[in-house]
Amino acid sequence: MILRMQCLGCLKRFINKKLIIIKEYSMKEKIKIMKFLTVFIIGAVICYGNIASAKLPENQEAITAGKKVYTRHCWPCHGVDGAGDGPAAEILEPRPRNFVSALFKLRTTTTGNLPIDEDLFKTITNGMPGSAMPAFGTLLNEDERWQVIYYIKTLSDYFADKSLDPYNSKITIGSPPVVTQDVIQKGRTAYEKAECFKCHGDQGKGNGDSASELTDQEGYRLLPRNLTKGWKYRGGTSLTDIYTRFTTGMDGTPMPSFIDNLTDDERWNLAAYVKSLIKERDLTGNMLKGLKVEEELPVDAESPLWELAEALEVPMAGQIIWKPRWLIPSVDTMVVQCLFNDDEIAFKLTYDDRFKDVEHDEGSLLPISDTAYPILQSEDPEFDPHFTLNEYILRDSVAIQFPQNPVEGTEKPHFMWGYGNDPVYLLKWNSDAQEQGNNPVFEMNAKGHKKPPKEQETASQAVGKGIFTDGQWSVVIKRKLVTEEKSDTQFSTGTFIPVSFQAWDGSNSEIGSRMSLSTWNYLILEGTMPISVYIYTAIFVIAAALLEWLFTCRSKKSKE
Amino acid sequence: MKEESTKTKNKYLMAWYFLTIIIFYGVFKFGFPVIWMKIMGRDTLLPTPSTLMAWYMIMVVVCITVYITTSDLKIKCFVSLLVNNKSNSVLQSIIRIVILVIFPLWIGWMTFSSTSSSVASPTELRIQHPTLPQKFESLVNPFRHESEEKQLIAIEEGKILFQQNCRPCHGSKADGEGPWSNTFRLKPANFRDPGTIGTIVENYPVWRIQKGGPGLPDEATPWDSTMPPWEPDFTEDQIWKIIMGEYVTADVSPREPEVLHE
Ligand code: HEC
Ligand code: HEC
Ligand code: HEC
Repeated sequence: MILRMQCLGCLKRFINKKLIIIKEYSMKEKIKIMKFLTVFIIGAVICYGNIASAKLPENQEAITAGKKVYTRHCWPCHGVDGAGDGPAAEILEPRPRNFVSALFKLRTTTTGNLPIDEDLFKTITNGMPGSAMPAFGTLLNEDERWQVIYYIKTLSDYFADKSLDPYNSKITIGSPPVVTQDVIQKGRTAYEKAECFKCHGDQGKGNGDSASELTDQEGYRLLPRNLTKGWKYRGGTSLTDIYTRFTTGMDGTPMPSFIDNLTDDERWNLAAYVKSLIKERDLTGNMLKGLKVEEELPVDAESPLWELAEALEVPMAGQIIWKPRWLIPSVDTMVVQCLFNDDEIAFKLTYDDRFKDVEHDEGSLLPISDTAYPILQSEDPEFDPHFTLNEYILRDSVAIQFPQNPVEGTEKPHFMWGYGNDPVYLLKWNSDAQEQGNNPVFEMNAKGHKKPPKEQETASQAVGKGIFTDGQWSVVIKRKLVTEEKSDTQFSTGTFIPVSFQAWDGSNSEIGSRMSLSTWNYLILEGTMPISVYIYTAIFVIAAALLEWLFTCRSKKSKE
Repeated sequence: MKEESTKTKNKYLMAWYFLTIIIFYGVFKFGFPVIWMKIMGRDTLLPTPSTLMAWYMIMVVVCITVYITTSDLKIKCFVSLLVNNKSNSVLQSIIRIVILVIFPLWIGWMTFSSTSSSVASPTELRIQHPTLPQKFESLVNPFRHESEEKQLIAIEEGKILFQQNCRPCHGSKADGEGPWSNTFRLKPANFRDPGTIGTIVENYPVWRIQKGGPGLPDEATPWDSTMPPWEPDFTEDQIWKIIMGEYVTADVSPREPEVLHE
């Protein structure tokens, strides 16, 4: 009873205090505050909509100013003279644009023509996702962007030639249709009619029959886009962007223009179909939740049991921590799932890989070189690192990495194969072993990046299987939860086990530390939900109800 | 009586209060994406970013709370809905019961989802700038004593080395938005942000660049940092060049060292 009174008192005092604060303002002031807030909200809303302003006039002054912007931000890649040969260009794939030869990918003009200023403006504002070309929309204001455009136009003779005025060859872009299932279906028909699959593959994974032979204008390897990866579209993923890309073609690349092969309607349908192929990726999670099942765990990646397990999308980058660094990795996202029962644990790794590489022969592959960014090395002077891959044949593999010993707190070994005192344990699957009918899963340990992971001496207890379907590997790796072996990671429920992933794409010449890798995520094998969660919830519900009751009592009393 | 009439008019004030919040939420969450899509002429929805969403909602709640607390009468009306009154209409009683029931349930749901997900992620605290090891404290930039011209050359060389080696992570604009920045759970430092290389003395990056992530002490979670150790690749002079180029690329300048020797 006394407690109740005290509580009431507290509440009363609290409410009174609050009221006093607000009472101190006069009515006028309150209105003022409200007006201010309204204006603020409206202002915020307007700022959110980025309203485009007018184009800067093209004159000598603007060109001079543009040169300044260029020498500040663009030349390291595009070169002093704009020939695409800046000091950073050597290690980029795709190479920076050569403004002198002036073949542009992103245009709204018909194939073979120059881009209009607005096209360049859009490119510089948004960058070219999936390449090194950064977005300058946040760094340069609009005037600066126009200025640099006028400057890069002076780098090539073509822009000066009045007969090539790009504004005369602009395509007309109508308004996009309303996308329905029917439109997408018709788009698929157009996809087959125009034979996009020859390069982009049946499901758009960029694995068509002629995909491996393509090069750009300058002879560098150029793979067709994996159309399911929206984050790699150089020119944006809106319906209009996609429509524009294959209507105009991408000059300097094998991507042709389809303006003559398809009608306008067909092209809009096709754009809708291509857009429907795009899968969003969600990279916010870092928790892989294992699902407990009663059944025997499947080694088959197509088992329906996998549909129950929650998936984690893990972003992957090239290994650029230690030499030799690898800047052009093939695998950029891995989808992982985990199932376990009382005895075993199984992981399923799914990722896009254009080509199935199941043979392995290191041949004349040279040992690790000491240059900062060796791409590929060969004794053959004709050897072109970007293209010729016939000196050796490499397999596809993936690995899951865990700290070898239980971790304390958030402390872990370094994510790139650990350190001396903090070794890691890897479960690695090799496609060539599977092809030869051997156990494809190897148990390995590593202690630092200097020595590659070493296979354990005892025969591998883990099993697994990979299935390749249309540009995608699905690999299952399975092991006992607890083993006798001291250098194995042991799995138990209810603890956070750091986990990371590594992948090697053979036809992209990946082997050893030339790989894609992820940083640490967490694996948790969920036991039952801890009881404390329910208790806390109950306490809070009761407390809330109590508060309400006190509140109504008080209000009633004050009324009386 | 006049007072009586206003009172009856505003009996549902609390219901209106919650309804307004819900309506605004709906507009921001579902209306805005469509409106902006139309205005900007895009063909995809432009969903309101979650931080902006939070701001909008805070503004709305503040505004209508200010409105409600403009007079004692309004406050009274506001709570009146919760009080069981003989004169209450059926509708009022229903709304009252709904509010009374939903509130504890809502609290319960919030607790449940937050406790069950806090089971899910170990919090990782990290110190971005641990103490500089003694060895690096007394280092002096050798180019600072050179002629202006030589310094400029060093800066240009540094910028190039930065673009060649640091760009994939820290970005060609040194804004931490390199093409791979999103693939690491711990994002590469944004040098344009005044909280990174702008707050440290020039020597500090020498340590960070030579030793990288692995050289960090435990409180700075070396195991999550993708920052490579560059000691094997660059001489100390080159590292000074990179640092000078890095500051220029990022448009910030290092903190002046405090009076060191007295
Ligand atoms: C980090 C290196 C880098 C920097 C810095 C850079 N670019 Fe690029 N840029 C590229 C690359 C790489 C490409 C080619 C991308 C592709 O072909 O997919 C490119 C392409 C372009 C294109 C061609 C678009 C098309 O339609 O083909 C333009 C225009 C361009 N950049 C302008 C600029 C301007 C202007 C700046 C400076 C404000 C700049 N770039 C800075 C790397 C860079
Ligand atoms: C001869 C091979 C080839 C054919 C046929 C082909 N493409 Fe492409 N496509 C490419 C290549 C190569 C690229 C990548 C260009 C680059 O990276 O610069 C590409 C890129 C693309 C892109 C990405 C654009 C962007 O913004 O990055 C789209 C969309 C696309 N193609 C759609 C199609 C469609 C639709 C068809 C059929 C009508 C088609 N392609 C036919 C080779 C081809
Ligand atoms: C593989 C990606 C990667 C590359 C390449 C890289 N860094 Fe970093 N860097 C990081 C990450 C991640 C951090 C933040 C974590 C940390 O402080 O270790 C960082 C932090 C830093 C810091 C500390 C900033 C501060 O205020 O604490 C400096 C300085 C730095 N990097 C300089 C460089 C330089 C110079 C290069 C090129 C020679 C470079 N980095 C290359 C990933 C990278």
